[in-house]
Amino acid sequence: MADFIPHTESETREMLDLLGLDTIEDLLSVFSQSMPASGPPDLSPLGGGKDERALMEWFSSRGDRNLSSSRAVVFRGAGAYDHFIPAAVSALVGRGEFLTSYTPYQPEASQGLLQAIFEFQTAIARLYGMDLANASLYDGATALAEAVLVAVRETERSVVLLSEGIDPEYRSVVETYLEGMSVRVEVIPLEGGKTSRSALGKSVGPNVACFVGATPTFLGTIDQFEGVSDLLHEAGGLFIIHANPHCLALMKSPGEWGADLATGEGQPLGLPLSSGGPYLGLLSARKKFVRRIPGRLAGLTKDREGRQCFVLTLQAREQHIRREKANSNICSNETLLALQALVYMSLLGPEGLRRAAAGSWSNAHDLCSRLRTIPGVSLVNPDADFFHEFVLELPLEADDLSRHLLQNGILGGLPLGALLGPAWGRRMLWCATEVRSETEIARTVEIVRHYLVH
Amino acid sequence: MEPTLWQKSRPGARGVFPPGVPPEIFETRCPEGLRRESPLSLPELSELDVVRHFTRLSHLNRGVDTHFYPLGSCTMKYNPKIMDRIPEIAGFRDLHPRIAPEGMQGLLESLYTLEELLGHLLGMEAVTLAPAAGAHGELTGILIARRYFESRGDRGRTEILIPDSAHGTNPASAAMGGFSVRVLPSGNDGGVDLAHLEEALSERTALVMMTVPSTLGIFEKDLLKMVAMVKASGALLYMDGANFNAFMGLLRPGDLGFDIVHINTHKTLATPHGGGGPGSGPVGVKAHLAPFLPSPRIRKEGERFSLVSPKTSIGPIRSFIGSSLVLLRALGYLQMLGAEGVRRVALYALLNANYLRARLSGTLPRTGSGLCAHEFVLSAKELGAEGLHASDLAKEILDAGYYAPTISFPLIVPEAMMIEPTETESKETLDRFAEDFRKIVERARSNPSRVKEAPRRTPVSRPDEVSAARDPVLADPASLRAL
Repeated sequence: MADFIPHTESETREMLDLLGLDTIEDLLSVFSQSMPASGPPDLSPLGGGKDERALMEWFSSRGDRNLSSSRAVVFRGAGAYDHFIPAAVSALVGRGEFLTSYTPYQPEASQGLLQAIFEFQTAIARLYGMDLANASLYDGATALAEAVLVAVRETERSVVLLSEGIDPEYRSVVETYLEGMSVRVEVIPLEGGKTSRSALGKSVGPNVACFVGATPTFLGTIDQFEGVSDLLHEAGGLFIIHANPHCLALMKSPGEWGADLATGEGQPLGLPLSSGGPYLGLLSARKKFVRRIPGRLAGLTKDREGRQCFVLTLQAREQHIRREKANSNICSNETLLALQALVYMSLLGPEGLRRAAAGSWSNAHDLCSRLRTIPGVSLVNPDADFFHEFVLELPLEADDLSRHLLQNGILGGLPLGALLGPAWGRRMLWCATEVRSETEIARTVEIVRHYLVH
Repeated sequence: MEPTLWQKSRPGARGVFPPGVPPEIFETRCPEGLRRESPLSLPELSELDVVRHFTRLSHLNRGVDTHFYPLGSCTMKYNPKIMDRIPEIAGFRDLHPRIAPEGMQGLLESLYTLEELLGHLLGMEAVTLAPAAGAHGELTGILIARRYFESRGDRGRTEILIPDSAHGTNPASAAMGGFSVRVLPSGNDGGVDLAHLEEALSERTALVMMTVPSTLGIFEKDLLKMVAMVKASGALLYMDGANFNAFMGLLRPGDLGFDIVHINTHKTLATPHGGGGPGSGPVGVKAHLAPFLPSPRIRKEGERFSLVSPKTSIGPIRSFIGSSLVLLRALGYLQMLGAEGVRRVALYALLNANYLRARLSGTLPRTGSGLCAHEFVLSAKELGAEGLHASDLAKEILDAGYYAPTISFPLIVPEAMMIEPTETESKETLDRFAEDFRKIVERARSNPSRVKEAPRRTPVSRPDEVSAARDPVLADPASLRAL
């Protein structure tokens, strides 16, 4: 049994003596008055403890029961992407000075993280084409929900318009976050993979707090937002875009589309698939919303000797100061993952990011055009451009093909029936990133062809 | 100090060469209106430049690995290195969250095991691992309470009672959940005052949120009476389990009568804080609240695990199943400790806190009396006569080679210094800290102007926080010059 307690028996004795106690069990008197009738708990389910070797054996054997990318080639995205991650990322992020530190409340002893947060904010603001970004939120879905809350507070209005292009699970998270408020969510449909302008035009009105668009959409299409910013602003609402940061190396940014706020899931920036988390919520904004947005902010300043340094700033927005009037309840965020994304972006640089994004775009288009040659397979939304994901209509149930592919060591496109309803039962959301090889693509296409044709 | 990435950027410098293709392919085939027009202002550096930059930044940062970190309320204990290996197992690290349950049986089994262990430790019938942090767990618990009262057709319960000593996240979460907050003033001993509680409880009360032990590091002596009063009013009881390290394996929130509890894996269960996150905030509830837990839920049938989304659920509170790689570390920690280790952790957390409390007696007055729990609070108010604040002492503590205690919290103690040593610190470290602390307080009395100048031994002296907030610079100006 290991417990990481460094005391020797004689030290424990000396400490108890100073306190005038006979045994360490005497400390239980701190809650003797609170001891429930049931008495002390039965801890037997916790077992007898494990040594390091036994522990790793337990976890390794559980890991072997998962079909990770080491055992199934990933052609699935839908919010979690298999990208290249340089070795230097984990080497730097795993340093104990970062890993085992707390929120940098004492700036003089936390300059390393404060500077990294400041640099992360800068990189995200530049990538999204916005003035500023915060130090992170939990994940893409909660970042989107928090951005919606900013719009609701800023406008004091009660209708939120969400594009159908937003991941339906993100939409559910937004609805959960709005559970306690009198706010109505309305979905603006996609037409051919792009936001329906007529539907948006009809819905925008004096009660609308914001419209949230997504690009690429959940279905992979690149949405277009000409005039959307003006439409919203004339009606007094805000325009929010949720965008994949990997694609933004090449794709028109939320800032260029005129968004007021932008959110994203930072996982594609150097975070492994991670069994779903921890991920990284991105939130960026125009300068005028700086006192409205949630989450920590690191700012540039000078010390007493006039040296460049960094501090947490504008904390009057946060829960530890404002309590029930705070912009959000968030305290712990995803700083280490923000550092990870920053290290990734620094290692690749602008050219590397563009190269990787172009690789994803190119592989996905290659995969799509090959799969479309299979009889009975067609591209849904053929008139919309896509980035690295696309939806195919199949001649049979997508679940059946998915199962067959998994048996052949391939995590194929995501069957959409479970998420979007029975009408989508034969549709599959495919993805190819820059790491997929020609061989993997060719083999996958042949297995699909064989399964569908025979 | 280290220049920023943009200050060091050299146009044309190349770092890691990733898989991919030249971007011109995209640019020739993708319609112009969809392409990024503005240049991408990210730093251009070699791989070695980047490695040196972040290595230097790490040298400007203190963690548990480098310094004693007596940051009250944060439980900065040692994060065992073996747990760093678990998230590196390819079967977990590289697992896609949208794979069908048959492809994630090992993950589901591990998380289910953690849910069960936490259920045992908390005395709760059901546990969700979904919340990404403690505050996220609070919001989850509050939304569960909302659904519970709705399910009973009780729509009049719109108020949450919260002691004035609570973490700021409590009232902030209550407001996000759509409730109004009624603050419970503390009594003279810093505990919840029974008369105030009685007066505040009504048919409007949905939830009473209590931190146990309180943020003063004290177990409320009337806890069981309070629980009975709240139950009698028909409200639910929520425990902020941020201080679980004081009683893990010794007492169970469920046995005490609490309906909902969240804990922080990045405190009690030794997962690293990572400079502010990632954390994880599992929530345990009694059986009558289990139907409302966030989706998806892990279900076990025979030896098979699946994911389900019950209709009664409050819905998802985040994407995917949870912060899996954090949760697996927490599971590893509990498995390593076993029954005996879990108990020893809490007992030694109590021992270390009480030992340090005793060693510091006579320096500054403590709020509270008798034994403390896993932490204690001193007040530096009397140094106000010398023009000093708790924050000034904190800077001297940094100079002495430690991280500083939590200052200015809880809000009910003027010039608070909240000290939590945790069980993983040795007697030698506590002795040395006590001696240094005593000298610092003496110096504050004899030479206050010197203390105002601290710290001197850190990479920078005190930053100008006022001008940082007046005209905030939140992105590197050098990143715009590059355009």
